Amino acid sequence: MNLYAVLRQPRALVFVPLGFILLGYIVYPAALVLWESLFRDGQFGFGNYGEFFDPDSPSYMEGLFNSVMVSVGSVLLSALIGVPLALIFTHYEFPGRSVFSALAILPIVLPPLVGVLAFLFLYSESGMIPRLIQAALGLERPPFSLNGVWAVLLVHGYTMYVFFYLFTSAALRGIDPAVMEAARNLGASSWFSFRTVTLPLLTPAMVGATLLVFMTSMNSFSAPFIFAGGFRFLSLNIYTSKLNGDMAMAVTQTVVLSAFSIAFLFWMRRYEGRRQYAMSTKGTANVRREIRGRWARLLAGAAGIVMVVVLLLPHLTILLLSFVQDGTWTHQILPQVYTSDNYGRLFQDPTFWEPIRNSLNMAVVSTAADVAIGVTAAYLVVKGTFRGRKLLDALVMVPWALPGTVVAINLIVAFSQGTPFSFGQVLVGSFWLLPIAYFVRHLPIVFRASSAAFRQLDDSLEEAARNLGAGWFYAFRRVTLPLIGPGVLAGTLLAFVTALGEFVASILLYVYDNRPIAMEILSHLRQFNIGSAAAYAVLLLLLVSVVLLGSNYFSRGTAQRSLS
Amino acid sequence: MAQVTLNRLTKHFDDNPVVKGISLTVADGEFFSLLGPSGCGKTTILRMIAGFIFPTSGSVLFNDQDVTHVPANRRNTGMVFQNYALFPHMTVFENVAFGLRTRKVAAAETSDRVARALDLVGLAGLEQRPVPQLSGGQQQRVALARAVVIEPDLLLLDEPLSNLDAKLREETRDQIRELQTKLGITAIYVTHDQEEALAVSDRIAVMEEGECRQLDRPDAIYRRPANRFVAAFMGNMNLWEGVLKTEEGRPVFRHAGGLTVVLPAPRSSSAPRSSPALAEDAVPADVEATSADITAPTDGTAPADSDAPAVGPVHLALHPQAARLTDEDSEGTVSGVVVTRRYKGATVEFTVDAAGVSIQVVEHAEGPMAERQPGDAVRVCIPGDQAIILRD
Repeated sequence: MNLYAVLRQPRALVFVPLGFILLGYIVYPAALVLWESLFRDGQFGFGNYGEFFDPDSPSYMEGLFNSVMVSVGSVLLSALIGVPLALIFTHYEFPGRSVFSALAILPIVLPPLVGVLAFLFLYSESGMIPRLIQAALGLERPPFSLNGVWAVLLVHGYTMYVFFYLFTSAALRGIDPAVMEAARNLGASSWFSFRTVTLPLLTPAMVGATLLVFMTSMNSFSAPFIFAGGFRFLSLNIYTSKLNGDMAMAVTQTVVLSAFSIAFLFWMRRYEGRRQYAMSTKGTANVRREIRGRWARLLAGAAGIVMVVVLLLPHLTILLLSFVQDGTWTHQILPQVYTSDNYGRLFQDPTFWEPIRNSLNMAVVSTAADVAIGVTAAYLVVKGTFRGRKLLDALVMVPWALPGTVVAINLIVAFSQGTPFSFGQVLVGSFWLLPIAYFVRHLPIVFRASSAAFRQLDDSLEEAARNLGAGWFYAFRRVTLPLIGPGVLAGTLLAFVTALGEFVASILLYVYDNRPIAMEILSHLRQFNIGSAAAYAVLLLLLVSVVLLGSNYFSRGTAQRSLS
Repeated sequence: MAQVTLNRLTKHFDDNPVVKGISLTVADGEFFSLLGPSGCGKTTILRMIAGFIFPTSGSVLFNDQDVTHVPANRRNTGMVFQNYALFPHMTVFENVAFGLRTRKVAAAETSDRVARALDLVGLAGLEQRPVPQLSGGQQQRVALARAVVIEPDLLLLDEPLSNLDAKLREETRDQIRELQTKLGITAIYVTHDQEEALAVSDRIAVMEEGECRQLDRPDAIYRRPANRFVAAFMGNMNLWEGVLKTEEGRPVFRHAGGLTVVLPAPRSSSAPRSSPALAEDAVPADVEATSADITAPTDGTAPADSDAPAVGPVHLALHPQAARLTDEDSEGTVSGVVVTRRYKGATVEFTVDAAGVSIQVVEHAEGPMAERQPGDAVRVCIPGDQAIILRD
């Protein structure tokens, strides 16, 4: 009897809770939102959509248009930064290469709101960089400043190029170098072989990264929230509609945003599937070309240092600001009064810990649920043989296509009254709605990581263990678990970290009792307590970095060993 | 078509010498093999000839042209990779046509030449098949077609058969040789399989740790290994350590375990090599002629000491086919016990233990001694005139 057989014996024990949770927290809220969007002032019909697409009041359409344009722009900008970086770090060897290539993923440790704040303090009209340049050159006004669409684009480019960088690097490592050599051998110039061989082989990675950046960007809330000014963005519009109590338009925009996201997902996925190549064994080892020549090396080193400075500036800014005494930084270019009080309160003020404790609690609870549901579903989808596997796969992945704003609105609509899924409780205004949102949002992360791990797990390994006399639990513990462990752990920690810094759903769902770190940062910011806000941001950054470093440490060795 | 000359070629990877001063010439139209265990530098040499890596010192010449630093894409060599390195996103046609595209050959001529190349390797009609859908053997032949369709000056083959199963390997091996002969292309073939090298090559360079240990025709390498390494690498030869003495005017090999082999008396000083077995071989004149343009490795195995074998520690190598099982207690035999018997169809392989010395013997399956079983007492006849004395 293998694990699957064990799992399915008392079938109901697994499928009923799984179905209950997926139905209750993913399907039912989404369906309810769709249903409610069809009522306008109690009247059934497409009135809401008529207003949305009304050519005479284009404000809603404008939001959609801007969201799509910024998303396309973000994809282009991220690709433009990430792909060349990946190519350079994979193909060339120069002093400091390994350090630079590791630092290139730094933006990923910045939770959404923190990154945006750093950009605000650095590059906005009153930001340090433009004003430093202004002072240095004696200009009348700052030479440039970030706001509006361009600011959003730049923040997206900075945080999202990492997807292109990571995907392309992985794909390049996966390409058999012998294939490139074959092209050279057959007379292809570097450019010709890049165009005809490398690029087509990178397509799946590019599609994957495009998808991720586009979705993240459509979904992006914090950058427009801080920088948009007069510009309208769909995700932001939903928030304002809800704030203004116009739930009918909030749900309508939610449906439009979901429809766009899901349509894009399916479109890209079809393309992705069509172009996937399994690479045969490696013919030759990957050799990096060493950059020789003194000037070339100097140039590479200098470019690397500039890159590191630009990449690290946001992190350093937040760190610097965390030492600023609240209320002292007003018109000066750089803050003048520094203090360690912001951290001192850590030990004196018991309320200081509350948001951190809240975030940790909610992240633990939601991630535990993600693991329970995500790993089980992944196992059933990958190794199971029952009908409806595809449906289960789709159900679990739906939240991936849903922006955070959408998830939040769905939950508000569904649980503003008692339902069987909440055992009759009204969840809006309670502690529980936010952890549920985290759970729903991050379920696909755990599910994807787990199903990838299960897919790599050769069935014959479990069979071999059984053949050697191991009971199914022993086989699971000694063979299956060590092999899938690193992958599952990586997904789990990523979900945990994302929950810690979550902002989008939080701003719509939090109550005072469960206010997470991100909301505390925002409220300090609103009171111009820049130092306190930054101190929270630094603590959040530290938490995220520690968890990610740990994840890297635990999964690296074992994951690679289990792959080879 | 090209003659290839390597001139004191060396390659270091991070101060680690992988190729240590190789000099040799591959004649125009020759099928030349680089043979050796993994890590001996054979693939590194091939990659320097292809231009994927550049030598630390020394030079590579095609005919009289120095190509040492010419980029790989301007060398006009056709290479078949160990894993074929087919472009996974292209069809069979697109793969084979790739080299013609880079050469800007017109479309009509391209399809013509691709069709001919595929016909040559027996894959006509599979043009539109995506490469991943082909079997291993078919992929191998696409790789071959892709390499020859560009009419290269030089065909480079990097262990092209190692991913095929045993039966297909022999078939493809012969196909490659046939194709090379038909097209008259110079070919350099890298392999670690001595049988493969023996079967297809005009000449073989046996490599060890970046050095060429012997360069000769297949039969010469097999029958007269120049040193212990080559003897051990070329198959399951008997290889015994001992000393060479002169007793009653005759050279005698004495193994530490008590095995004694009386060698034939040395001939006149005209004997070409130190090995007694060499004296028996009538060396064909044409071999000497083709070997003339080889820069032989100066490792001391060359015909330096043609006088009476010097006395001292040596190794004795003997092909298992040269030893014979017998019941007669005559001169030149030792007594022993059969330890293992392996039936091979045409032959039977025995391992005999003779007072602690393990002797490999191959008998014809139809012969009188073929039915001996493990545990049987036998005598082994070791003909001194077939023994090869190795000092290196």
